[in-house]
Amino acid sequence: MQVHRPYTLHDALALMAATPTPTPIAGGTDLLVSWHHKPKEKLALLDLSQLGGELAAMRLTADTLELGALTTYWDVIASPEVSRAFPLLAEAARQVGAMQIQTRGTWAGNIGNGSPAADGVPVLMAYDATVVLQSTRGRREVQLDGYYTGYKKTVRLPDELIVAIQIPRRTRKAEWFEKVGARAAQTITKVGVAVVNDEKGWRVVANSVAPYVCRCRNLESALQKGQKFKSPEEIRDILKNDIAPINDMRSTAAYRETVLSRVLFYRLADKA
Amino acid sequence: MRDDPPSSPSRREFLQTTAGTAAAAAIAGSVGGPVVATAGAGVTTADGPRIEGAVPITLRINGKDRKLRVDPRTTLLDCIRETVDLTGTKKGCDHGQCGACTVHVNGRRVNSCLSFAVMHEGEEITTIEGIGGPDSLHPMQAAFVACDGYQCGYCTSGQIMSAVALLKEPCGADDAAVKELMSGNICRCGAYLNIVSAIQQVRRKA
Amino acid sequence: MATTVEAPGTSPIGRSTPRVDGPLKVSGAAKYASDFHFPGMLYAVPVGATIANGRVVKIDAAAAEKMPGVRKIFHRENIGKISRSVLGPGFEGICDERRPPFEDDVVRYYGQYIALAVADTFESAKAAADAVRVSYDKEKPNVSTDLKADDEPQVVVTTFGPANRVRSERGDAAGAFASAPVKLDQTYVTPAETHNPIELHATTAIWDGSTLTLYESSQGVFNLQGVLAQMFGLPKENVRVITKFLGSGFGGKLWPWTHCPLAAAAARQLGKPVKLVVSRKMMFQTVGHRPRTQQRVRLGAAADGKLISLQQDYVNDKAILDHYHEDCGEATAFQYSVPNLRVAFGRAKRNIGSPTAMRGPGAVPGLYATESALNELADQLKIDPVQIRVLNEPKIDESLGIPFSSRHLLECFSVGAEKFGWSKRTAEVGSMKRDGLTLGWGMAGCTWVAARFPAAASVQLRDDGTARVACGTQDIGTGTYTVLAQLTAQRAGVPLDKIEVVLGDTSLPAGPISGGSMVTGSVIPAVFAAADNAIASLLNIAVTTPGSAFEKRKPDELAFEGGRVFAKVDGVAKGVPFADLLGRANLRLVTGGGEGAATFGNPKPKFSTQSFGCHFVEVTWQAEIARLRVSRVVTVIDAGRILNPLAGRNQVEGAVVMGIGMALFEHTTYDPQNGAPINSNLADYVMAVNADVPPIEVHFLDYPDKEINELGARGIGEIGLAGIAAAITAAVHHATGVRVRELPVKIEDLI
Repeated sequence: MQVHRPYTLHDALALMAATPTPTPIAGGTDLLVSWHHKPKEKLALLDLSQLGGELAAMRLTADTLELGALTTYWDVIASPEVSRAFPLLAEAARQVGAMQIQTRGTWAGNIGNGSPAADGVPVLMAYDATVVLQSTRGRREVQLDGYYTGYKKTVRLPDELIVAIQIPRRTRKAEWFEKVGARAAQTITKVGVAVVNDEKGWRVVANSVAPYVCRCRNLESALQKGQKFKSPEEIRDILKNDIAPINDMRSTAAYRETVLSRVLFYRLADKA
Repeated sequence: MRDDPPSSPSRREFLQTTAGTAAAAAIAGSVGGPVVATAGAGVTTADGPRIEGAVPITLRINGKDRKLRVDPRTTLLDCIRETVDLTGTKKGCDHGQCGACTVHVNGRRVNSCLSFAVMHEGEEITTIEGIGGPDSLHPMQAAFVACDGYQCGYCTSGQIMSAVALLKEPCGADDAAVKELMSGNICRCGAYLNIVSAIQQVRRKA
Repeated sequence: MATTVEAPGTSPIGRSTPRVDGPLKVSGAAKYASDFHFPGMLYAVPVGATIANGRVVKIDAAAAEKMPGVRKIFHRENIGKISRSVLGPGFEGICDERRPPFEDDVVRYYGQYIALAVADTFESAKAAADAVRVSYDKEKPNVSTDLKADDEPQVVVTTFGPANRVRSERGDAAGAFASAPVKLDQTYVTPAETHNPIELHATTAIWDGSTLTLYESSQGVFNLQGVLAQMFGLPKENVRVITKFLGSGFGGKLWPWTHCPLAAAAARQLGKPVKLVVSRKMMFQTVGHRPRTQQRVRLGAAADGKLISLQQDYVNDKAILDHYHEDCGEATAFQYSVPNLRVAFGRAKRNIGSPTAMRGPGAVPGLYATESALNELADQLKIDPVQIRVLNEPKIDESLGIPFSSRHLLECFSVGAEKFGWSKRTAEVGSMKRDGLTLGWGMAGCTWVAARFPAAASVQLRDDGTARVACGTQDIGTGTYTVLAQLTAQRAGVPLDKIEVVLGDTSLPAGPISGGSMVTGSVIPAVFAAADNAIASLLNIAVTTPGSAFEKRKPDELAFEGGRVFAKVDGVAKGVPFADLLGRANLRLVTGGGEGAATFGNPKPKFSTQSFGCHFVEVTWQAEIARLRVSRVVTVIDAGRILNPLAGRNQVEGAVVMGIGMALFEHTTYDPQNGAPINSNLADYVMAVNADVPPIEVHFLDYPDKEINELGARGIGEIGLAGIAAAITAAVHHATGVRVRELPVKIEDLI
């Protein structure tokens, strides 16, 4: 196993361009779990923790919040300004694993790992975030909605690093996040959903109900048209075209579908 | 203690010798920035245990700089326990799921099983031994004794490291807020209510 | 929430006492098995089979052996002789997995150790273990969860010897059931549960010539000593087992598991200390679990709820080679009055690691079934669940035909009902609401056996006024260090902070296993006898030492109280501190040994000795977002005299916490394809965290039970887990109308 510790983004990108491509590591809260499970002798790691500077910073301007790639959940929780401007970020951050995970885990890492159960991604996608990717070849911006192409598959090219996440500041009429799991805290998500209604319209983002975190576009258009729902079943019927939950050891497809539609029904009707 | 003999090069020197050549040099088959380590490269210390592929680093633990040779695969937890021999920090799951290995890095609590030791050079690491000894208990440690905030004691170091960190975290005044922030530390004996009592006792006195 | 209640008077017995080992535990200075390091120590990492049924064809360790830092890859061909062990008289040599590791090439469960990598560092050993290539002849494993009893004879082998499959019988249970006016016939299922103490099982093995020393996470150092001595063909005295601190075990560390002889065998060959820490994942495979149980309960009753017949037929799964019996009928035959009863069991072999005792073995799953059945019968008859229990309260232990030594279950019910506010309960499902939440209220009774194991102890009184008490039992977390200090303080009149307690070492007087909730009850007579013998020596010294104030007296004219020797005629005020007497005699110390006899296993007891209790539980249910929480628990326990209410209450609260996990979260699930426990980590094996725990009120009825020991203290480590799951599922039914008969309750099943 190799660990590279570059001090500048320039060096980091140069390393990413090398063969074999190293695996970027920041907090390590996802990577170490799988590493313990099955250590890879050949693994080359690119430790980003020394980069600091722009990658560690959060910048809140009049129209954007930019989270440098090293921004942790804790950074958001500990910032009253960011928590006020984007309350769902703080709410989701507090439900990502334990505080010990929140202090190390990064938003960019949560995006990069690509887990369908990622707790940080639904709120970012609901806030219409953009992912900033950089390589020695240049820099590009990709909508988070569109970043995933399949289970643990993303549009990031092997030599690209996530360097920042940008979130537009907009006037919002509704925003909420709900996570359902077995126990009261530090629980693995059975189903989670983030909902935002802003000047660009409704965005409903669910996790653990598809191979990757995704928007529920049919439900969004129904909401856009001002449709009122009479029962959770009505929402469930619409969601059938939006999600593809599976049975696994953590829950069942039927449950995920039922609970997601119930949560949406009661929260949208402000009954829960 | 398995500190390096005084003659071995410090990690700082190591970095200085490699950082300048970062862009072009090929070190252990890699290009670019300084390569910290390659396991299996065969660095063997003359005395003490053979640690293959070990690299020299300096970790600052409980206010003391420790020059160490560590395998790049060594987690911060295993380094603290097996290399530095500070065994108060416990291994419970190696997956960041139980909190027994909680230490402070730069004042924030982290699961020491979830990072590699070589990633922590230059950081301020505090373990339970740095909080207080049996004859010089920190108020939080004393409160755990008074409130019986444990049973078997194995998760206790992690509970106390979390509890001490919590004192400086944004945490509501009520028990529910404390319980939420302490939920990353599993106590299989189930002494949770007494743990909350201990923390609240310290917070009230603070 | 726990509060500290001080008992009147100055006796340390019955007083809430912070633990004497507390400062070591809170500062990380308490040494657990994996905390002992030795020069030249090597690290061992086992390789587990990745099939659950079949044969190892080839182990290719060539690549692994060449890896840097690797000392040796052990397997069947090169591990050396490890023999079997057998059960001896008096519960000696107990072991749930008798087959020594690597004995043959057959794989019978997933994760069974087939090789062992030993290297200079943990990292190298782990990498080497990962690099060992194994090929198998694979067969489909049987991990079926549908438990049909295997065809076994009437008398079967169990871990503890032969047992009749009809566990208890009286009257004509089947006939009475057939003609009963009211019937209930339901099957209850409890899943495999894994102990998951936070301390990983660990062994550090050191050979010194023909002597083997083991630092082990063990709940029974003497049993382990006996089994290891057999496995390595050593005299018992050549094996020393040390467990200074134990990161709990809940039964999982009672008997030896295969990692321990592996570490010892590796250390024997390599001539260096070897440390082996079992990974969390392996702890789901190789160190036991509570087996799955399937229990059919048939109740026949009169229209008023009086029981006429009770039948419990249960099956547990077990490993292919071993004989574990989950004694679900442990409490059934005596808990309630019923003239016709039959309790019988069977087992079903599966490709799983051997099950073993887990906190409240037998009674905990058993009472989940029988207490649930009683709750269902009450609902069926529209009788209050407390009332049906009062109605069926027995006058004596009907299974043995002898009186209970001390049974106050009815008072438990009345105290619990009052503290909980049970009279406000409305019986209809979903009828109780608070703050927009639906409430469910449920209750159940509980019981757990009380007895004594044999125990020995020694007490020293020293010339600096301190005392030392030693016993080779372990402190599993229940507060044994503190109890021994309290007992010594009480008898020898030495303040708690001047008492050194030494535990967890086979070089000490033989102490009991940390199991069965029996340590406290067992050590009381031993420590008291030891202290009395030390005092007797002291009195002899007092009358024989030249210049002593008591030189002219006879020992029987003297007495000892509060650490002072005095002449009975003069009173304690004119007494002399023992330190002064020892100093005058130029003695550093006097030592007394003491023993307590067993009552456990007594074939003809005069009394039935049990503890009793009950739980009252409230759950809240939000159907909208499928959120179920336990919101309030009141538990009342009748366990005789409580020596340390601070630690005692903690025990019961902790058991209730585990019960919340048992009822709502915990289950180990085996992959039907490869037989692996699939949720083998602490995120997917869900245990209660701090936020899951509601306010828990614990009340002790303090009735000393003098049949057990002179202080009247029974055990409290396990009873709190009995019955709680039945109370929670009753509350869930009350809130949701869903009757869950297979644990855990899944929110998936409630909507």
